[in-house]
Amino acid sequence: MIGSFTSAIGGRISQFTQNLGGAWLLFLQVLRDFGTRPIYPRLVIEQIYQIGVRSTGLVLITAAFTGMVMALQFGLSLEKFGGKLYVPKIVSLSIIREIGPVFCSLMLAARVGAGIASEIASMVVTQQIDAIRVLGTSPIKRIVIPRILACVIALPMLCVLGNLVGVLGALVVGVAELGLDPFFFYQKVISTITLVDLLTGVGKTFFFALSISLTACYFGLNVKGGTQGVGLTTTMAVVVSSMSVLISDFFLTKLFFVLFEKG
Amino acid sequence: METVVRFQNFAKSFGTKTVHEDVSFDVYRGECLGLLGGSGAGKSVLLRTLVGLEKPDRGQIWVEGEEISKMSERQLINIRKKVAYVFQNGALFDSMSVYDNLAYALREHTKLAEDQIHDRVINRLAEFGLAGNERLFPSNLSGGMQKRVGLARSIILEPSVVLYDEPTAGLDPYNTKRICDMMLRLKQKGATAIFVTHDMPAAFSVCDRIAVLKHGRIHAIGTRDEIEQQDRWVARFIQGEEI
Repeated sequence: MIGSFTSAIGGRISQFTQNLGGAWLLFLQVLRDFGTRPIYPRLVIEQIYQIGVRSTGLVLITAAFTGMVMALQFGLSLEKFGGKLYVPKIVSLSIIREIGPVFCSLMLAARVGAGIASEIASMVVTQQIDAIRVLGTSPIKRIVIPRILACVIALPMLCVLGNLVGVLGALVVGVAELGLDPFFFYQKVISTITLVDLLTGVGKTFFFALSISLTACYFGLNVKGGTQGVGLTTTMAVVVSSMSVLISDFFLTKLFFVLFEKG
Repeated sequence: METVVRFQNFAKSFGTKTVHEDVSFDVYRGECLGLLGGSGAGKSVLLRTLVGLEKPDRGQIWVEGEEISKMSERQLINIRKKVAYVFQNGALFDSMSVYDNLAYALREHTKLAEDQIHDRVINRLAEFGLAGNERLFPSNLSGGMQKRVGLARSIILEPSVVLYDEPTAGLDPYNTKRICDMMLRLKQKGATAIFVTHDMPAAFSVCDRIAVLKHGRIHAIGTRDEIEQQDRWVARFIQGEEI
């Protein structure tokens, strides 16, 4: 009993370290191939459309309703203590610094992470990745780098849009449900948010985008088995990339705090 | 005779399963070597190793005078321009049309203008009985057509070596004959080939020599008559008798 338990734990740890090492090696390979010829700007643009443009609706709806729910929750709770007027400050700061970047990234991890992992895994299973190599080209350059670049370009833009729509959603609820003056709301948001808040929030999304796309590509390229493997690897990619967003968020928040606010 | 491909003491295992213990053989310029063996004998592994999709555990592999077993992906690009690999299922890019599948290697490795690429692709499609299908996507093609497109795509750069991984598997006799005829045409043009198959009539119609893999080694190699006379097991294997 204890033996099988420790062996299961050991297996998990071994699998984890193998995946971590594999993803790191893939990252190094991407760095090595990045910028060397041939480069494929058309593929990057295609991926920006697939990853960024086609995720816009999902991200904006999530952001709008998150902002609305936050305004409602804070408004109704703070109203009891006469603190309703703090809603614009609290909600906008939370959205810009944390909720906006993290929720946008989680949405992207779910939609795009799954899409990238399953697409690449299907290509592996049907030997299309082998065909790319056999035809004298590099799957890292043609498949991995365009997706990573597209994520790194698209996610910060989506985050800025999401922040804006989230705050607008909060404003709508603040005015309609809490009876706040829209100009007061607007002024409080503008006076609260600093450039550092905006930059640290959006800055995190570059790292999140890298971790989501790299994780999805890694799991896609390392699929085992047939169609069942594609399903499993897609699930793994979404779970791991979502967790990596949440875990790295803590460390990035800490890092940005030390860099920009401690002094 | 000039050796184009050489396996020398090649060994390969996957985990605890040893597929090849000690494989050595040569393929000469212009010949087609048939590679036979039971399922799981590692025939496809040999082909995959020849284009660097697998790395050997031991031994050396020579292609056109270059030892490739320790080459990096970047160094292998030049080898892959000379060695074409025809996948069993075609392995066509399903997000690209038939035209783009064929144009892929030309756009990547040549400086041809788009109209020259167009001419080359259209001619090749006509040669393979696929004229008029250039705008279709792989999912719209039959199995036989996918294999022919796969074959046409593989040889578009006019390689000196062609590796066929069961190109006739699952095809009806008519399509099998079409594929074999195309292989013979390539052979007449001087391409060296290795043909992995379970289809004995196809192998004997195309190949000059046959190599039989058994227990991780080359069990017999030679012309059909030679290997059948050499070994009773090979004769029974070829006849499809119980062994």
